[in-house]
Amino acid sequence: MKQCLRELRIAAGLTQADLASRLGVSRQAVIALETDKHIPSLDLAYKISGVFDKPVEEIFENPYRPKAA
Amino acid sequence: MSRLSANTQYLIGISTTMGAYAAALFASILTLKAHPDLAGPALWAVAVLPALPIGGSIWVFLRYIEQVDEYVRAVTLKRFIVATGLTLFACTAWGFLEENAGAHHFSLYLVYPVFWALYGGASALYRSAT
Repeated sequence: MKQCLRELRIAAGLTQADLASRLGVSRQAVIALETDKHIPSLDLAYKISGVFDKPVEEIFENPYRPKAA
Repeated sequence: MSRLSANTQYLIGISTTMGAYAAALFASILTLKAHPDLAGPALWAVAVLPALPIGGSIWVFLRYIEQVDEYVRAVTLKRFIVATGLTLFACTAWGFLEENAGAHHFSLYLVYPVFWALYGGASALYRSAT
């Protein structure tokens, strides 16, 4: 699943450990999310959305939504 | 809720159950040697004693899976399922080899270390849940 988590994290001046701490997950989980090795649960996606104050679909591309022509 | 991390609780739990396993194993062997006339429920109780901490170690592992975050849980469960499948396959295959080809008979208590060896192999192969 395409995402822009790394860019958002860096723009917010957060380290992977900082973000992991805010989300209540391990640093391994943040690395896996940033490298597309883990698709987050809806709960975790909402937590990430809350940290960056952005809608989920601005962070994680919805591959099922029809693309605008 | 405990303040210790899931990893710390796991290490304490596994160390405790493995220590209990070693103690139970020695106690069981020494009791059976000292009382060769033991029979019935008492014999069964002494003979099965070392298996009880093994049950405890499995409970510690399952508790660890519940405590970690969703990513670590997904990876750990995948490895656990793969190792379980491989263990079932290896034991079934060896059973047929014993039955039909005269292969050496192994005691079933070896299934536990075989499972963890295969879990180690699965951990090397599966570094992520996808």
